[in-house]
Amino acid sequence: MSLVNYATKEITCKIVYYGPGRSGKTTNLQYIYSRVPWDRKGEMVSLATEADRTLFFDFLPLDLGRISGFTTRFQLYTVPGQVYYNATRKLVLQGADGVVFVADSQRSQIEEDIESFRNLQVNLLEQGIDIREIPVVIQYNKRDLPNVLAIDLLDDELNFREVPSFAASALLGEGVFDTLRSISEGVLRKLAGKLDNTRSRSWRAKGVGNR
Amino acid sequence: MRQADLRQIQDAFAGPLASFVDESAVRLAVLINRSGQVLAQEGFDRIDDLVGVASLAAGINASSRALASQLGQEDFEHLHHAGRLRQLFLGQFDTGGGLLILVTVFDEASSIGLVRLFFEQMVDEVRQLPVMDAPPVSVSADNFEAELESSLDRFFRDLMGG
Repeated sequence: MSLVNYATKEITCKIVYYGPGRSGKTTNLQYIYSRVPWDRKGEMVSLATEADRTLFFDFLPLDLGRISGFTTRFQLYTVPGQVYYNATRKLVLQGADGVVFVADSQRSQIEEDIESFRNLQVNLLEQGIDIREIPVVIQYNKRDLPNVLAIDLLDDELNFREVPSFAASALLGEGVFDTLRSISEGVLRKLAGKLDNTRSRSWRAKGVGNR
Repeated sequence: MRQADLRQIQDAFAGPLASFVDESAVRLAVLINRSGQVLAQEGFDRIDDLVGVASLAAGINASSRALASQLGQEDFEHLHHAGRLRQLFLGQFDTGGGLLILVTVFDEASSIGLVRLFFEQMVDEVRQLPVMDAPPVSVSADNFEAELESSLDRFFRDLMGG
Protein backbone atom coordinates (compact mmCIF):
# COMPACT_ATOMS: atom_id res chain seq x y z
CA MET A 1 0.00 0.00 0.00
CA SER A 2 1.70 3.15 -1.20
CA LEU A 3 1.78 5.98 1.28
CA VAL A 4 1.48 9.41 -0.28
CA ASN A 5 2.15 12.36 1.99
CA TYR A 6 1.10 15.55 0.24
CA ALA A 7 2.35 17.75 3.08
CA THR A 8 5.95 16.59 2.92
CA LYS A 9 5.66 15.47 -0.72
CA GLU A 10 6.81 11.94 -0.02
CA ILE A 11 5.87 8.65 -1.60
CA THR A 12 6.68 5.36 0.13
CA CYS A 13 6.20 2.03 -1.63
CA LYS A 14 6.72 -1.54 -0.47
CA ILE A 15 8.32 -4.14 -2.74
CA VAL A 16 8.55 -7.78 -1.68
CA TYR A 17 11.12 -10.24 -3.03
CA TYR A 18 9.38 -13.63 -3.09
CA GLY A 19 10.52 -17.08 -4.18
CA PRO A 20 11.63 -20.52 -3.00
CA GLY A 21 14.27 -21.08 -0.36
CA ARG A 22 17.85 -20.33 -1.43
CA SER A 23 16.79 -18.75 -4.72
CA GLY A 24 18.76 -15.58 -3.96
CA LYS A 25 16.28 -13.06 -2.52
CA THR A 26 18.55 -11.96 0.31
CA THR A 27 21.51 -11.90 -2.10
CA ASN A 28 19.60 -9.41 -4.27
CA LEU A 29 19.14 -7.07 -1.30
CA GLN A 30 22.73 -7.53 -0.16
CA TYR A 31 24.01 -6.59 -3.60
CA ILE A 32 21.74 -3.54 -3.77
CA TYR A 33 22.87 -2.51 -0.29
CA SER A 34 26.51 -2.88 -1.28
CA ARG A 35 26.15 -0.65 -4.34
CA VAL A 36 23.80 2.11 -3.27
CA PRO A 37 25.56 5.19 -1.82
CA TRP A 38 25.08 5.73 1.90
CA ASP A 39 22.94 8.83 1.43
CA ARG A 40 20.38 6.90 -0.64
CA LYS A 41 19.81 3.97 1.69
CA GLY A 42 19.01 3.15 5.30
CA GLU A 43 20.34 0.31 7.39
CA MET A 44 19.62 -3.20 6.13
CA VAL A 45 17.78 -5.23 8.74
CA SER A 46 18.03 -9.03 8.52
CA LEU A 47 16.14 -11.42 10.78
CA ALA A 48 17.89 -14.70 10.06
CA THR A 49 18.38 -18.10 11.67
CA GLU A 50 21.73 -19.28 13.02
CA ALA A 51 22.40 -20.77 9.63
CA ASP A 52 21.79 -17.40 7.94
CA ARG A 53 18.50 -18.47 6.41
CA THR A 54 15.87 -15.74 6.47
CA LEU A 55 13.59 -16.29 9.46
CA PHE A 56 11.18 -13.39 9.14
CA PHE A 57 12.37 -10.83 6.62
CA ASP A 58 15.21 -8.70 5.34
CA PHE A 59 14.45 -5.02 5.02
CA LEU A 60 16.21 -2.32 3.05
CA PRO A 61 14.93 1.27 2.68
CA LEU A 62 15.99 3.09 -0.49
CA ASP A 63 15.67 6.71 -1.56
CA LEU A 64 15.13 6.95 -5.32
CA GLY A 65 15.22 10.74 -5.38
CA ARG A 66 12.56 13.22 -6.49
CA ILE A 67 9.93 12.50 -9.10
CA SER A 68 7.58 15.31 -10.02
CA GLY A 69 8.49 17.03 -6.77
CA PHE A 70 7.88 13.95 -4.63
CA THR A 71 10.68 12.36 -2.64
CA THR A 72 10.26 8.71 -3.56
CA ARG A 73 11.22 5.99 -1.13
CA PHE A 74 11.07 2.26 -1.58
CA GLN A 75 11.06 -0.31 1.19
CA LEU A 76 12.45 -3.63 -0.05
CA TYR A 77 11.53 -6.77 1.87
CA THR A 78 12.34 -10.43 1.37
CA VAL A 79 10.23 -13.32 2.62
CA PRO A 80 11.59 -16.57 4.08
CA GLY A 81 11.48 -19.01 1.19
CA GLN A 82 11.28 -22.27 3.07
CA VAL A 83 7.86 -23.96 2.90
CA TYR A 84 7.82 -24.17 6.70
CA TYR A 85 7.56 -20.39 7.10
CA ASN A 86 4.36 -19.71 5.18
CA ALA A 87 2.73 -17.91 8.11
CA THR A 88 5.47 -15.30 8.25
CA ARG A 89 5.56 -15.08 4.46
CA LYS A 90 1.93 -13.99 4.49
CA LEU A 91 2.67 -11.28 7.04
CA VAL A 92 5.50 -9.78 5.02
CA LEU A 93 3.36 -9.81 1.88
CA GLN A 94 0.71 -7.63 3.54
CA GLY A 95 0.52 -4.24 1.94
CA ALA A 96 2.96 -4.99 -0.89
CA ASP A 97 2.81 -2.61 -3.86
CA GLY A 98 4.85 -4.88 -6.09
CA VAL A 99 6.48 -8.31 -6.08
CA VAL A 100 9.77 -9.55 -7.49
CA PHE A 101 9.60 -13.31 -7.88
CA VAL A 102 13.14 -14.70 -7.67
CA ALA A 103 13.26 -18.11 -9.33
CA ASP A 104 16.17 -20.53 -9.14
CA SER A 105 17.10 -21.37 -12.74
CA GLN A 106 18.65 -24.73 -11.93
CA ARG A 107 16.92 -27.68 -13.56
CA SER A 108 16.63 -29.44 -10.21
CA GLN A 109 14.73 -26.52 -8.65
CA ILE A 110 11.89 -26.06 -11.11
CA GLU A 111 9.31 -27.82 -8.92
CA GLU A 112 10.20 -25.57 -5.99
CA ASP A 113 9.87 -22.53 -8.26
CA ILE A 114 6.43 -23.59 -9.45
CA GLU A 115 5.26 -24.42 -5.93
CA SER A 116 6.48 -21.07 -4.63
CA PHE A 117 4.80 -19.16 -7.45
CA ARG A 118 1.52 -20.95 -6.71
CA ASN A 119 2.00 -20.12 -3.04
CA LEU A 120 2.43 -16.44 -3.98
CA GLN A 121 -0.86 -16.46 -5.87
CA VAL A 122 -2.67 -18.15 -2.98
CA ASN A 123 -1.24 -15.81 -0.35
CA LEU A 124 -2.12 -12.74 -2.43
CA LEU A 125 -5.64 -14.03 -2.95
CA GLU A 126 -6.04 -14.50 0.79
CA GLN A 127 -5.51 -10.74 1.01
CA GLY A 128 -8.05 -10.17 -1.74
CA ILE A 129 -5.44 -9.40 -4.40
CA ASP A 130 -5.53 -10.99 -7.83
CA ILE A 131 -1.94 -11.44 -9.03
CA ARG A 132 -2.96 -9.77 -12.29
CA GLU A 133 -3.70 -6.55 -10.40
CA ILE A 134 -0.32 -6.04 -8.78
CA PRO A 135 2.99 -5.30 -10.55
CA VAL A 136 5.10 -8.48 -10.68
CA VAL A 137 8.56 -8.99 -12.18
CA ILE A 138 10.21 -12.39 -12.47
CA GLN A 139 13.95 -12.80 -12.04
CA TYR A 140 15.58 -16.02 -13.30
CA ASN A 141 18.51 -16.16 -10.95
CA LYS A 142 21.70 -18.24 -10.82
CA ARG A 143 22.30 -18.11 -14.56
CA ASP A 144 26.03 -18.48 -13.82
CA LEU A 145 25.54 -22.06 -12.60
CA PRO A 146 25.65 -25.19 -14.81
CA ASN A 147 22.47 -27.17 -15.47
CA VAL A 148 20.17 -24.22 -15.69
CA LEU A 149 16.96 -24.40 -17.69
CA ALA A 150 16.59 -22.26 -20.81
CA ILE A 151 14.75 -18.98 -20.27
CA ASP A 152 12.04 -20.07 -22.73
CA LEU A 153 11.32 -23.16 -20.65
CA LEU A 154 11.24 -21.16 -17.43
CA ASP A 155 8.88 -18.66 -19.07
CA ASP A 156 6.59 -21.52 -20.09
CA GLU A 157 6.43 -22.80 -16.53
CA LEU A 158 6.28 -19.55 -14.59
CA ASN A 159 5.59 -16.58 -16.81
CA PHE A 160 2.34 -17.43 -18.55
CA ARG A 161 1.10 -13.89 -17.77
CA GLU A 162 4.08 -12.46 -19.67
CA VAL A 163 5.21 -10.08 -16.96
CA PRO A 164 8.69 -8.50 -17.33
CA SER A 165 11.42 -11.08 -16.69
CA PHE A 166 15.20 -10.85 -16.30
CA ALA A 167 18.08 -13.29 -16.30
CA ALA A 168 20.32 -12.71 -13.31
CA SER A 169 23.28 -13.86 -11.27
CA ALA A 170 22.59 -11.99 -8.08
CA LEU A 171 25.83 -13.09 -6.47
CA LEU A 172 27.70 -11.29 -9.26
CA GLY A 173 25.21 -8.45 -9.42
CA GLU A 174 24.06 -9.28 -12.94
CA GLY A 175 20.41 -8.44 -13.54
CA VAL A 176 19.84 -7.18 -10.01
CA PHE A 177 19.33 -3.53 -10.89
CA ASP A 178 17.47 -4.32 -14.14
CA THR A 179 14.97 -6.21 -12.00
CA LEU A 180 14.71 -3.44 -9.40
CA ARG A 181 14.29 -0.78 -12.04
CA SER A 182 11.52 -2.72 -13.75
CA ILE A 183 9.49 -3.30 -10.60
CA SER A 184 10.06 0.32 -9.51
CA GLU A 185 8.68 1.57 -12.79
CA GLY A 186 5.70 -0.80 -12.64
CA VAL A 187 4.79 0.26 -9.11
CA LEU A 188 5.19 3.99 -9.76
CA ARG A 189 3.26 3.89 -13.04
CA LYS A 190 0.41 2.23 -11.22
CA LEU A 191 0.60 4.84 -8.48
CA ALA A 192 0.65 7.72 -11.01
CA GLY A 193 -2.88 6.88 -12.08
CA LYS A 194 -4.08 7.22 -8.50
CA LEU A 195 -2.37 10.55 -7.82
CA ASP A 196 -4.59 12.46 -10.20
CA ASN A 197 -7.88 11.43 -8.75
CA THR A 198 -7.63 11.87 -5.05
CA ARG A 199 -10.54 14.19 -4.30
CA SER A 200 -12.99 11.36 -4.05
CA ARG A 201 -10.48 8.83 -2.83
CA SER A 202 -10.78 7.64 0.71
CA TRP A 203 -8.04 7.59 3.30
CA ARG A 204 -8.11 3.83 3.21
CA ALA A 205 -7.69 3.76 -0.55
CA LYS A 206 -4.53 5.82 -0.35
CA GLY A 207 -2.89 3.27 1.77
CA VAL A 208 -3.20 4.00 5.44
CA GLY A 209 -4.60 1.02 7.23
CA ASN A 210 -6.07 -2.15 5.92
CA ARG A 211 -6.43 -3.14 2.36
CA MET B 1 -12.59 10.63 8.98
CA ARG B 2 -12.78 7.98 6.32
CA GLN B 3 -13.18 10.53 3.54
CA ALA B 4 -10.53 12.88 4.81
CA ASP B 5 -7.31 13.51 3.00
CA LEU B 6 -4.18 11.88 4.30
CA ARG B 7 -2.35 15.18 4.69
CA GLN B 8 -4.95 16.53 7.05
CA ILE B 9 -5.19 13.22 8.84
CA GLN B 10 -1.46 13.25 9.42
CA ASP B 11 -1.53 16.85 10.64
CA ALA B 12 -4.39 15.94 12.92
CA PHE B 13 -2.37 13.14 14.52
CA ALA B 14 0.09 15.69 15.89
CA GLY B 15 -2.22 16.98 18.65
CA PRO B 16 -3.20 13.66 20.25
CA LEU B 17 0.37 12.36 19.92
CA ALA B 18 1.89 15.46 21.57
CA SER B 19 -0.62 15.23 24.45
CA PHE B 20 0.25 11.57 24.89
CA VAL B 21 3.99 12.31 25.10
CA ASP B 22 3.42 15.15 27.60
CA GLU B 23 0.98 13.34 29.84
CA SER B 24 2.65 9.95 29.97
CA ALA B 25 6.21 11.32 30.07
CA VAL B 26 7.48 8.91 27.44
CA ARG B 27 10.62 9.71 25.47
CA LEU B 28 9.32 8.98 22.00
CA ALA B 29 5.99 8.11 20.38
CA VAL B 30 5.69 7.07 16.76
CA LEU B 31 2.49 6.29 14.92
CA ILE B 32 2.83 3.77 12.10
CA ASN B 33 0.49 1.86 9.85
CA ARG B 34 0.51 -1.92 9.62
CA SER B 35 3.10 -1.84 6.84
CA GLY B 36 5.50 -0.05 9.14
CA GLN B 37 5.31 3.32 7.42
CA VAL B 38 5.78 6.25 9.78
CA LEU B 39 2.77 8.58 9.91
CA ALA B 40 3.73 10.89 12.78
CA GLN B 41 6.22 11.14 15.62
CA GLU B 42 6.67 13.17 18.80
CA GLY B 43 9.40 13.32 21.41
CA PHE B 44 13.03 12.33 21.07
CA ASP B 45 15.20 9.30 21.70
CA ARG B 46 18.62 8.18 20.53
CA ILE B 47 17.45 6.05 17.66
CA ASP B 48 19.62 6.14 14.55
CA ASP B 49 17.27 4.20 12.33
CA LEU B 50 13.64 5.09 12.95
CA VAL B 51 12.54 3.48 9.68
CA GLY B 52 14.15 0.20 10.76
CA VAL B 53 12.45 0.44 14.16
CA ALA B 54 9.10 1.01 12.44
CA SER B 55 9.52 -1.99 10.13
CA LEU B 56 10.49 -4.25 13.03
CA ALA B 57 7.57 -2.98 15.13
CA ALA B 58 5.16 -3.70 12.29
CA GLY B 59 6.68 -7.18 12.00
CA ILE B 60 6.29 -7.85 15.72
CA ASN B 61 2.74 -6.58 15.65
CA ALA B 62 1.83 -8.68 12.62
CA SER B 63 3.30 -11.83 14.12
CA SER B 64 1.58 -11.25 17.47
CA ARG B 65 -1.76 -10.84 15.68
CA ALA B 66 -1.15 -14.11 13.87
CA LEU B 67 -0.21 -15.80 17.17
CA ALA B 68 -3.36 -14.46 18.82
CA SER B 69 -5.40 -15.87 16.00
CA GLN B 70 -3.71 -19.28 16.41
CA LEU B 71 -4.66 -19.18 20.11
CA GLY B 72 -8.26 -18.32 19.31
CA GLN B 73 -7.88 -14.75 20.54
CA GLU B 74 -9.24 -11.91 18.50
CA ASP B 75 -6.09 -9.93 19.26
CA PHE B 76 -3.51 -9.10 21.88
CA GLU B 77 -4.25 -5.53 22.91
CA HIS B 78 -0.68 -4.42 23.27
CA LEU B 79 2.90 -5.61 23.63
CA HIS B 80 5.36 -4.52 26.28
CA HIS B 81 9.10 -5.21 26.26
CA ALA B 82 11.06 -4.12 29.33
CA GLY B 83 14.81 -3.56 29.35
CA ARG B 84 16.97 -2.36 32.23
CA LEU B 85 16.97 1.27 31.09
CA ARG B 86 14.32 1.52 28.45
CA GLN B 87 10.98 -0.03 27.75
CA LEU B 88 8.96 -0.40 24.58
CA PHE B 89 5.19 -0.40 24.27
CA LEU B 90 3.33 -1.31 21.09
CA GLY B 91 -0.38 -0.59 21.08
CA GLN B 92 -2.61 -1.21 18.09
CA PHE B 93 -6.02 0.24 17.47
CA ASP B 94 -8.59 0.31 14.71
CA THR B 95 -9.76 3.54 13.16
CA GLY B 96 -12.11 4.35 10.32
CA GLY B 97 -9.07 4.27 8.09
CA GLY B 98 -7.68 0.96 9.27
CA LEU B 99 -5.32 -0.39 11.86
CA LEU B 100 -2.68 1.90 13.37
CA ILE B 101 0.13 1.06 15.78
CA LEU B 102 1.62 3.31 18.44
CA VAL B 103 5.30 2.58 19.11
CA THR B 104 6.54 4.28 22.24
CA VAL B 105 9.84 4.25 24.12
CA PHE B 106 9.99 5.21 27.79
CA ASP B 107 12.34 5.08 30.78
CA GLU B 108 12.08 5.48 34.56
CA ALA B 109 10.32 8.82 34.14
CA SER B 110 7.19 6.93 33.12
CA SER B 111 5.63 3.53 33.77
CA ILE B 112 3.65 0.92 31.87
CA GLY B 113 0.56 1.95 33.87
CA LEU B 114 0.84 5.58 32.77
CA VAL B 115 1.53 4.59 29.20
CA ARG B 116 -1.52 2.32 29.08
CA LEU B 117 -3.73 4.98 30.67
CA PHE B 118 -2.80 7.74 28.27
CA PHE B 119 -2.66 5.37 25.30
CA GLU B 120 -6.38 4.77 25.78
CA GLN B 121 -6.95 8.52 25.92
CA MET B 122 -4.94 9.08 22.76
CA VAL B 123 -6.86 6.37 20.93
CA ASP B 124 -10.14 8.07 21.87
CA GLU B 125 -8.83 11.40 20.60
CA VAL B 126 -7.63 9.94 17.30
CA ARG B 127 -10.93 8.17 16.77
CA GLN B 128 -12.79 11.43 17.36
CA LEU B 129 -10.82 13.45 14.82
CA PRO B 130 -13.39 15.39 12.84
CA VAL B 131 -14.25 14.51 9.31
CA MET B 132 -12.43 16.88 7.00
CA ASP B 133 -13.01 17.76 3.38
CA ALA B 134 -10.51 16.49 0.90
CA PRO B 135 -8.24 19.39 -0.14
CA PRO B 136 -7.40 20.11 -3.74
CA VAL B 137 -4.57 18.02 -5.03
CA SER B 138 -2.35 19.38 -7.77
CA VAL B 139 -0.55 16.29 -8.94
CA SER B 140 -0.71 15.53 -12.62
CA ALA B 141 -0.37 11.86 -13.49
CA ASP B 142 0.95 12.86 -16.93
CA ASN B 143 3.72 15.00 -15.44
CA PHE B 144 4.53 12.32 -12.93
CA GLU B 145 4.80 9.63 -15.60
CA ALA B 146 6.82 11.92 -17.86
CA GLU B 147 9.38 12.48 -15.12
CA LEU B 148 9.33 8.88 -13.95
CA GLU B 149 11.52 7.44 -16.66
CA SER B 150 14.20 10.13 -16.54
CA SER B 151 14.31 10.00 -12.73
CA LEU B 152 14.73 6.22 -12.74
CA ASP B 153 17.34 6.50 -15.52
CA ARG B 154 19.31 8.93 -13.39
CA PHE B 155 19.15 6.81 -10.25
CA PHE B 156 20.09 3.52 -11.90
CA ARG B 157 22.69 5.01 -14.22
CA ASP B 158 24.62 6.14 -11.17
CA LEU B 159 24.37 2.69 -9.58
CA MET B 160 25.22 0.71 -12.69
CA GLY B 161 28.16 2.91 -13.57
CA GLY B 162 26.72 3.75 -16.95
